[in-house]
Amino acid sequence: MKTDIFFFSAMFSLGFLVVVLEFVRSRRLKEQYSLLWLFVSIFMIVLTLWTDLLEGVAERLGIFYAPSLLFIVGILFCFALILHYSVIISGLHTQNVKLAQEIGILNKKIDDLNEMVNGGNTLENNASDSF
Amino acid sequence: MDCQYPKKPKHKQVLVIIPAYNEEHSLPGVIASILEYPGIDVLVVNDGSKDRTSSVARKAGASVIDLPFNLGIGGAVQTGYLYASKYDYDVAVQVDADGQHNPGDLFKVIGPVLEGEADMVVGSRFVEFTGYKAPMARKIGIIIFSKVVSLINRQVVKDTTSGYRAVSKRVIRYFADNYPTDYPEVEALVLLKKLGFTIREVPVTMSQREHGKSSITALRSVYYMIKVLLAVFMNLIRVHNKEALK
Repeated sequence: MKTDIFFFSAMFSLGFLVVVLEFVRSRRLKEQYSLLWLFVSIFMIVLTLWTDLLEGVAERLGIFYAPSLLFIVGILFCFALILHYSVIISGLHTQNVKLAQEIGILNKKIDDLNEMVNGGNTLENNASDSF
Repeated sequence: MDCQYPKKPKHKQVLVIIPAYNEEHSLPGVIASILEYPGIDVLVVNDGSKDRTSSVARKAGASVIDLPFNLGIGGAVQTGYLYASKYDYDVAVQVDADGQHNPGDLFKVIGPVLEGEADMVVGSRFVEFTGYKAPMARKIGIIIFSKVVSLINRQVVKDTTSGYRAVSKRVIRYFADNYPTDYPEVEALVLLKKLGFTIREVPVTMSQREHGKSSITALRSVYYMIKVLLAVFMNLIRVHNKEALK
């Protein structure tokens, strides 16, 4: 095999796949968040090694320089991933707000109970300091 | 509607929710004038203030929830609804901490909810002439929101951005789980109407702010406008879970 753009792309994708798998194995990346990455890696490997497929598709799409199809595929996957993360962040944001609200209410409850038990004259307990 | 001091129904519990961010100057006055009415609980939701909002509010006699960090008006107000829901209040009233809402109008706003005539009552500056003067840019924004919401709700709502509003127990329960973030007032109107709740506007007088500036600066108002309109239209094409209302 020649050391052309296809070779580099394939090697990079393969390396990428290994790194992703390693992250999942060592539990630094959750399975559900690794799926898209695995899919990208494998897809890129197939596309780079199976040159006929890449060139065939490029021709059908009117792309003269076949490797630029690799770029567009890569960029589109990046968009998909980033959108995926925006959705995840929105979910985390909602949970974060809910947690803050519950903590606020719980702290008030603790203060109230404290006051009931201690007559309110002990324990300078400022809820916002307890974090 | 007549706004004499009303009979406070014996078994109804009313909670006033005051979201507050750095309002140590105006808050004591607001709390004191609300506590003049017997049988009303005042809850200040301190939204991560950097000043003495929390201690000042406690001293003035309010219950205080300190949020661990700033959530913004939507998250702060929702904390109040969550609290009201947990403690089974019958009516919750939002009042601004900056003193622009007149506590004298409190029972005008609460009244129809207490009587079961409406699920949400909005204290409005514009139902009749109440002497409120707004800057031009804000006036235009207010008119656009009013037109859009009135059209969607098929009910005229003049003051869509008013934060002076009372809601019933069913709405409290709903808001505890679903409340718009960021600039929630306008969106809440469309949301509630779509879910079949009844909304009413009553005239109130609002004073100019005592302290501080409105959270809406010139630059933010564009974002405000786009965000609110987007949220309103999203609500139109969203399927809401009406089961939650049972």
